[in-house]
Amino acid sequence: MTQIFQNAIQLVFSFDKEVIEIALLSIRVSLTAAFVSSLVAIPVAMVIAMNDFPGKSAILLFINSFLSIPAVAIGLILYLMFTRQGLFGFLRLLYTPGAMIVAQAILVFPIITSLTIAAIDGIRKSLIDTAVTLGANSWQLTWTIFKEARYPMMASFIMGFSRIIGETGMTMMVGGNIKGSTRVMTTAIALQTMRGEFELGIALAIILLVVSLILNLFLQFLQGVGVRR
Amino acid sequence: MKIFANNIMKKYINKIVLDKISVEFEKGSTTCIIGPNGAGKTTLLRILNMLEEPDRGEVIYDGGSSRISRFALQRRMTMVMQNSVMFNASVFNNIAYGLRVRGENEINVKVESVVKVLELTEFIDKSALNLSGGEIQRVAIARALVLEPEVLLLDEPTTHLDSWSKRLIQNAILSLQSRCKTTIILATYDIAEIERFEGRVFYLEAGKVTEKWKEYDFTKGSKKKSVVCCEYFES
Repeated sequence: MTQIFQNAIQLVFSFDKEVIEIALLSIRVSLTAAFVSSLVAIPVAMVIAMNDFPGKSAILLFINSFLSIPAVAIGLILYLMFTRQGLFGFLRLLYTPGAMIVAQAILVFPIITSLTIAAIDGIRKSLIDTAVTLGANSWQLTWTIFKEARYPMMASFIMGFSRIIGETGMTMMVGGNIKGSTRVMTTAIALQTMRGEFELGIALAIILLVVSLILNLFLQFLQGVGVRR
Repeated sequence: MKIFANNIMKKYINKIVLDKISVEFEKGSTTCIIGPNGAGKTTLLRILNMLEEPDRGEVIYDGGSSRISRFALQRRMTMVMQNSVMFNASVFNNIAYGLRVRGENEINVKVESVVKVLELTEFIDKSALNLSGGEIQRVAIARALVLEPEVLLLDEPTTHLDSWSKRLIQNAILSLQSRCKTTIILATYDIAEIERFEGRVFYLEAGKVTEKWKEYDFTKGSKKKSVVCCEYFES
């Protein structure tokens, strides 16, 4: 067992080409998914949080219930959509990083949306009134709220990213875990474990833990900045 | 700007906060609104500043000229809240906020001038989130004064402040008024402050006006009138 760990650590510090490739693909796919999802989720969350309209509670309930949707269910639906006979089969996305990005973006959407809504709700009403009484128009007010909620919004991005970079089942279903193409850290760890070849799996697990640790440290820093208000 | 609040009524759930209140604020005048907590002073100021709509009645600005948009009217006024909050930015950027959203020029000069008056020079580059209560209130006043508004609504602006800060803020407000003929509407329960501002004093009591609006004119100052107010607060 000690030998396996020693070999795994050696793999990490020798900057093994396969390990680096898998780690970089993981980060690239999850970062792109979180970014694409944020581009939609943040404006949607701002519209929901800043306006009162009929059905708002129902929309919030809908978004919150999607927080607990099993990732494999999203994977299954997307798999059926992306197969040749599926609705989006013509896109030829199945078993490509693109399919993994789409799946992860969908999975992270309710997370970023609900956390952004909470972040905007956290801005005191008096701060919004202050901006209005100082003469801000609706666009300037929106920009002010965006700036005020920037740290909690960044935290929601990081939390979403942390969630999807550790996702396995869904990513494997739509990505296929193809070596050199769609093999990411989690799917590689699962495969290596099933094969009984633990060195590469442990090396990737170490990298995944380090990424997770760095993200959480950054998240704590952002929360600290936000608390000063 | 002349403001006429006509038959204003405001209700929160089952509580009537303002009950058919009519009052006129002349251009360049100073009006102090007194009354105990929950009397509806803040609600009246918020309605005048268009932050809230009355349930009944209307507020007429400058005789009700229909050519002026609601937004344009709102930009001619500004309000300093009782517990002012700061944007997550430097003191300078907090004070410059109103000028920036109005797209005004010479922001640095205007901010520096008001900063000097309110003795905020040493805090100018600091984060506004790290200020003490008194400093926050001075920045909030600076943020409003730098706009040189036609109407300045002040909701207990010097409550909980030390006498030095109070004096500094009062001087700055009075200086603005003499320079710009600003209409000042001040909600307060500080008798010394009321006397300092030398304006009309309106008496507002919880829910509705129990008697006819009382009006005290400190400009024609009789000690007796001040005593009437003090007696009210002591009781």
